[in-house]
Amino acid sequence: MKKTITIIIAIAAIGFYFMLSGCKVNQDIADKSGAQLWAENCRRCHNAPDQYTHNPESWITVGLHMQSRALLTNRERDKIINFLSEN
Amino acid sequence: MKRNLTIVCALLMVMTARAQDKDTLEVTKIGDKYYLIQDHKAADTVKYVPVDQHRKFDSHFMVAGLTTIGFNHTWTTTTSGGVTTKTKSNNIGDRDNFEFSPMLLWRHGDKFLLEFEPSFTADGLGVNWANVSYFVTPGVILRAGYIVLPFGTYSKRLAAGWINKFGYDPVGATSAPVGSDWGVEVSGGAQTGKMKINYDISLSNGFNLGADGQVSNPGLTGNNNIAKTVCARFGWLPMANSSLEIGVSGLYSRAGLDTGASHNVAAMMGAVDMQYIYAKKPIQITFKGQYNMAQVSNYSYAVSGDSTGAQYTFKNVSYGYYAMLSFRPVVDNKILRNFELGGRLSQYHTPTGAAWENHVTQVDVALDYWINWRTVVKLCYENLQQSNPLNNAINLTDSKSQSHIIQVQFAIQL
Repeated sequence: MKKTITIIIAIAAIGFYFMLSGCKVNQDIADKSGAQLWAENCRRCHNAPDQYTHNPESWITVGLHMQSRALLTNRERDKIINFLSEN
Repeated sequence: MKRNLTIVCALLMVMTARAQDKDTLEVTKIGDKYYLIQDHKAADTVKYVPVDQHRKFDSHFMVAGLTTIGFNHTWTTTTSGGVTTKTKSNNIGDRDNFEFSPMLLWRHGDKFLLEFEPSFTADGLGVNWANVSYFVTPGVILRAGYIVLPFGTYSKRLAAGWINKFGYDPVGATSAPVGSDWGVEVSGGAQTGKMKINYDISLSNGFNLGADGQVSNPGLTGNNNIAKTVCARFGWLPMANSSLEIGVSGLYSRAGLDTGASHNVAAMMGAVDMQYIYAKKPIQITFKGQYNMAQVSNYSYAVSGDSTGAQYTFKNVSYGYYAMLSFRPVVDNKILRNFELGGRLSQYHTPTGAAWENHVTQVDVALDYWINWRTVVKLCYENLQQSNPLNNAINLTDSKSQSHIIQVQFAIQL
């Protein structure tokens, strides 16, 4: 019985944590630079791309393609494109 | 079981809570092109500038894509009906070692994207995907056309030769009959606090039921029923630096013919996938894995080659998995940092008692050298074991085989 209650509490705590963390985008997350997002998200599947691979116009197109594959948020996509287009 | 579940839940909570403090990465440029990535706590801040405020073009067309070319040498020992044979073969660019897939991307503003990827292999010319995407709002992308079904992550994200760290695909992920099909899809990602979630839901043409009980996704080759396939994946990235992703997928499709006894035969599939990347000087460790299973409704099938009309049935459940781990040095040495060592285990099991019963175990080891971020030379070894047990009920003899494969492969993304 105690184990069951512990499990229920654990699951409820996780659910409650989800609810709390889902309220709004954390400021630290919102302030992340394009370089950080580039490093964090690209490497989920492959090596992070070199800035010199494409021109800025092509990075926008590639950004849309990658957003549809990795399911990035719009903010992540735009910041990463900006970072990759800097040079 | 309950105790284990409690421990897992507690660990998950601790890990997730702890992850919230490790929410950024430090990116340092070394030399001309290499970046060192490690955890740190201070977040850089830059002004957020939406792309369309400083750059606006209506239309853009480009060609990307990939190619893979390789050489393999295979030693195979096969035992069938008590007779053992040994064979050797070697190939340059066979069906597993050659692919040329240009990808055409055509963007209209920042709302529409057309994607088309034909693929030329030893099997001929095929199409991986051909679709149009509409970026409706943040977190909602609509797509229609010939799409990759969102079942697990391997087929949609990790199968490209320059992404896969090994010479072959894992049988546990690619043997499930999912692939691409005509359909519509809605997907997106969202930030929830410090975590992220994503979803991908598709509706496509129905699967087909074969005469021996195998279901298949007809894809471009035609469909023999009016049923539809519903497939969905939900992903969760609990860590603020996106280093961990856990996904759950499900698929349902009626596979039987529209009329007759097989009408209600359906396929139900499920998958769990996970990937985790740890990067801190002096090493980057990558883990990726996926488990999937498929269950088809009970049905009776005709014994092949039997003129008396005999039928047989079996529990139509298949399952498979793969798990891979790779290590890459994060050091200043310009040669050493380009190496990556990986190992992978994969299995796939088809139903016991089926005419197509097969049990496969695949073990891979690879040493990769990255010429740049998207170009790799792989030296791979694979041990592949397959067994097809004796089945007197349907006149099948037993068969076993073991292959040792040495492979050198070059892969590039263009």
